[in-house]
Amino acid sequence: MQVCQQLVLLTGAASGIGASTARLLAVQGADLALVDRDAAGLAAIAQEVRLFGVKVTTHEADLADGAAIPALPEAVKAAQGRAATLLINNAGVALVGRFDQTEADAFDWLMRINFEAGVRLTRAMLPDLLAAPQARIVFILSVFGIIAPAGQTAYCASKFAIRGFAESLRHELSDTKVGVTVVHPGGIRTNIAKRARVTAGVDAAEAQTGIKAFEVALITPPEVAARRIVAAIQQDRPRLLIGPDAQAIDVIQRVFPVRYWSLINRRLGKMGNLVKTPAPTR
Amino acid sequence: MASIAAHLINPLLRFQVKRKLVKASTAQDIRKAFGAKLPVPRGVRFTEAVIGGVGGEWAEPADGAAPAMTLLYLHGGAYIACSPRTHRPITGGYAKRGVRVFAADYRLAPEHPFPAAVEDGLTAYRGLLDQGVAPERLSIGGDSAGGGLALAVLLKAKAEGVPLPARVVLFSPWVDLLGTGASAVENKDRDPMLDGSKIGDGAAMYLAGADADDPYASPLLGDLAGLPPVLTHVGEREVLRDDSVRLDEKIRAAGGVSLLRVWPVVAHVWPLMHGILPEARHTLDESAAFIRAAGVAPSPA
Repeated sequence: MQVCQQLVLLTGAASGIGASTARLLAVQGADLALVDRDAAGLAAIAQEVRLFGVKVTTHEADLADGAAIPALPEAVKAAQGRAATLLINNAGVALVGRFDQTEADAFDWLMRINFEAGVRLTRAMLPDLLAAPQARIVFILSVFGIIAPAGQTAYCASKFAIRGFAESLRHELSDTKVGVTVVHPGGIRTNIAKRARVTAGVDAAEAQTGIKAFEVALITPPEVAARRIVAAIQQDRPRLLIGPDAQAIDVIQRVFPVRYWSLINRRLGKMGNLVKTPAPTR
Repeated sequence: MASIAAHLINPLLRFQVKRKLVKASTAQDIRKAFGAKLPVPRGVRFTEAVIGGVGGEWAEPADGAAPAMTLLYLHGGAYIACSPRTHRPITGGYAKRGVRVFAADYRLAPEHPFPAAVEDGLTAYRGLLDQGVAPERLSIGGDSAGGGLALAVLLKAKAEGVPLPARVVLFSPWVDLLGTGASAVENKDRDPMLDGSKIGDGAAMYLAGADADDPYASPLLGDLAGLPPVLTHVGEREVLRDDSVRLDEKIRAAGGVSLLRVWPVVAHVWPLMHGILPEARHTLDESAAFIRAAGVAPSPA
């Protein structure tokens, strides 16, 4: 679909892939409803994209608060005077720690943001999207929606879940004007690792080593990811892999659907104990 | 990640431009090094014109469309080389994207040293206003030396109470003739086009004895308060990278609105390679959108 003149609801817009995507959509002439919990970051990106002459509204919301989500599309409609025709579910958070180190609360918090928020937003917006002449729902996942490294139980659960949701939804909507795009970025140079919540059971120094090692794997700049995402929307692509790492992981998973982990582990093993098998508990 | 074309073109520039520039000792050498003929976008009409006594050429859509926004463009070339004609890939690129461009053929050094270029730039700017172009529909832009010149013209206009334009767009601007940015040393070898240690030579030819810290020669040192919104593009590997980085910081510190884009891999003033590099087209897309938006968006206070 053409993005010019569309109204886009974009979550996680204050930084990373979200901020870069907002910039690019504004350059292409799309109006923007930007959602994030970081009010200052949201204001900064909004001030910037307004310079490109598009209508921009900001909506501060914590997507972990499931009850607040159904009100969001209404708030966007009231502020923009029309319903969004493009929904980009980009907001995502990460956790540091093995499953046995992760409290149930932290696990649930991640699931609410990475999985449930996307489902709730889709539910709230679907009637308007179906009524539009053309619409699209984009889910920004991760390569961890293709493979599941150790130390990523909650993250992988959320990404596999939203992938299943998105793909089933795409098939349900196949004879409507609503398209669904699933994006699997590889390592994108954003703050997701730096801002990961470290669970109570993890040693702080150990966590820092893991986060540093993880950041080395973040090879693709967010501007490049954003460009690919906008192009995928314009070309109505159902699926997008971003970065050579994502391409490689996709192939390895196909060829070795079970053994992929022992092949990738050597490289990911640099992330310290965080991704190794849990130490036996005494 | 930069495009493959950007990686491929850099060794070529190293051989074709940097090697010649390092050996250049006269204005003639510099003009030759910058003399490449690059592909010009189709669908653009170029017409010679004189605005306020300064020659140059218009770049407009050939289909007769009348863009709402006008851009005064000042080409680069170390204040010594190039012309509106060499920079047609950029001015034509703007015209294709719905911005009408007047490229001023300002006087060049060493025949006409500082401040001749600044005088001509301001004369052309005033000329456009006198022709009835409203300042809120007028923008100013330039690349390299032309970027510094655009900023100098802006500072001079501000000092003389001439209405300021709506937007400013700079590509790899040269705003510090003293060459004090850390990138001048850091990127000396990485920059595929310019050698940081040669900045002083070009500056000396332009200044012809004038002070390099004159704010109309090095506008980075000028009073940058009260400027219209500025969009600056620069390459991460450029020796002039920190001219842009410091400019962005100084405009923000002075309470202005500044957007800085730092692009990986690309060489100095890559929008010239409009027909070759995807980055060039993306940069021009964004720059033209920024200029066109001044016509619809209220300028932020």
